Amino acid sequence: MKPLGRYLRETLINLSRNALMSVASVTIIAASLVLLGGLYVFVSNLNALVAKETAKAEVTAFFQPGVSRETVDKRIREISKYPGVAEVTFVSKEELMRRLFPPDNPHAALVQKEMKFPDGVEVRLERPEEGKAIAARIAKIAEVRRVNYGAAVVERLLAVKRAINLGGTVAVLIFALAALLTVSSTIHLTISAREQEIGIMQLVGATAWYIKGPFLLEGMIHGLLGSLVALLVLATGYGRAYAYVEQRLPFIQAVDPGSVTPALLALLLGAGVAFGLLGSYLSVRRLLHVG
Amino acid sequence: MIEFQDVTFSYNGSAPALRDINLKIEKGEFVFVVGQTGTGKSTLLRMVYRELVPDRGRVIVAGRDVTKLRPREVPYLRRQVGVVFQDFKLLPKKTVWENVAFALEVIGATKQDKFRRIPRILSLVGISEKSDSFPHQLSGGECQRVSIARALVNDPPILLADEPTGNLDPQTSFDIVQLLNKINIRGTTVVVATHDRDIVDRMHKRVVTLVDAQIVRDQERATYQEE
Repeated sequence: MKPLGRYLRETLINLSRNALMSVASVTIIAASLVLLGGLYVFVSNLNALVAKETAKAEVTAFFQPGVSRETVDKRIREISKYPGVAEVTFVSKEELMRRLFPPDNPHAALVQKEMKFPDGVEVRLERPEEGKAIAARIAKIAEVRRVNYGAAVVERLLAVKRAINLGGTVAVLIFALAALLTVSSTIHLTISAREQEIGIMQLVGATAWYIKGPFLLEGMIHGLLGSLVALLVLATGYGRAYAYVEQRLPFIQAVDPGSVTPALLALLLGAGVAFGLLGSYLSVRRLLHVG
Repeated sequence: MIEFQDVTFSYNGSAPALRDINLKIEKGEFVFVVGQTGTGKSTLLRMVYRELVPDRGRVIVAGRDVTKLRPREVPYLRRQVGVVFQDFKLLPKKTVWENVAFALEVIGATKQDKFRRIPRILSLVGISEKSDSFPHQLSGGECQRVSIARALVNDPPILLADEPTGNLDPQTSFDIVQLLNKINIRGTTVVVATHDRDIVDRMHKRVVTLVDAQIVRDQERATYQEE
């Protein structure tokens, strides 16, 4: 019999003999992967939101009244060279006035007459996390009267992302450990049930891989089934959540399920097979004293 | 074929199970290793198929020092050494044919190989008509014949039997030893560890006696007790 055929046959026997533990093993792998995949989907959405807010994030600076256009241009050239700055745009007092009080505004004429607007600049950022430092640096320029940094939302989002990454990683690690131990225990039981057979295999000259192969394959199948279950749960769950958000909360632009699925599939399959293989390898190494 | 050179071994630091063993068994010999329970007979055999590795000394099997084998080389040594035990070690859910075939499957034998070798070996051990029976349907003697068939189906040059008659009545024991003799005549080196005085006395083969982990006698055409 071809080795792969034998591996599959033996693996199916093992799975059927240990059906209940196999179900437990697949379930815990699936739970870990739902958590891992859920974290991935959540962080993907958060990243998209951060990217969107980042694109909007900018530092606005206003000059003292009476600063000449030449000085303003000089400062613009200086600011453009700051690290993390993508683009600096001059905003004249007239432009600013137009933006705040468009001509169709009934108070526009009065405001124009009574209020004095300063010239300013809009600084678009390459990296939002540097916005605060750039704003502080611009504030030190003598001719600058006031600086606004409008990316507090991005900063908060980044902080949330960091916390979720940390908490999520810890949770995934705990679940992964539980999954490894469950797979390992299941394979342990299978090996114990076939102890006599394995002893005879070793006696009559079976190679280590001949003996180990079906158990490793069994672990891999647990992982594979776990990842398929997790994928089903996540795809269905996220599909529904996406539809809900699209309908009820249109201001939140969630990541399209179609664009997240291929990476999710690869992540879940890879992690599932790795959990299964590693879990079974731990038992095989501990129990089978073969080369 | 098998050589022990100054071999000493103890289980987990307890008193030696074998001490300063020097023994040479030539190709095609039939040797009884005798002694009371706990004198080191089984330990001696287990070193030949590298179930155990001596604390000191060398064990040479078919020209190779098996104490120096890497773990992945051990299976290939074991294909050269058939082993038979007192408790037969048959798989209860497999038929006679399947139990014997198991040893061939493990080494990757083809279907044709199995159909060529198994009937021949079952015929040699005299159990052809029971090939579809399960172990629980067989007598002790028949189980031991299946166990011998499994050990020999791969044609190993060495056959080790560890108390092969321990569970059998005197007549069946003698039949089994006669079978081992027949196998030896075909060219297989046979080493039998036993404390069955009767079969040793009736066979008049080379006898190696162990007492307190040491060889105290090694005599050709001997009986159990020194005459």
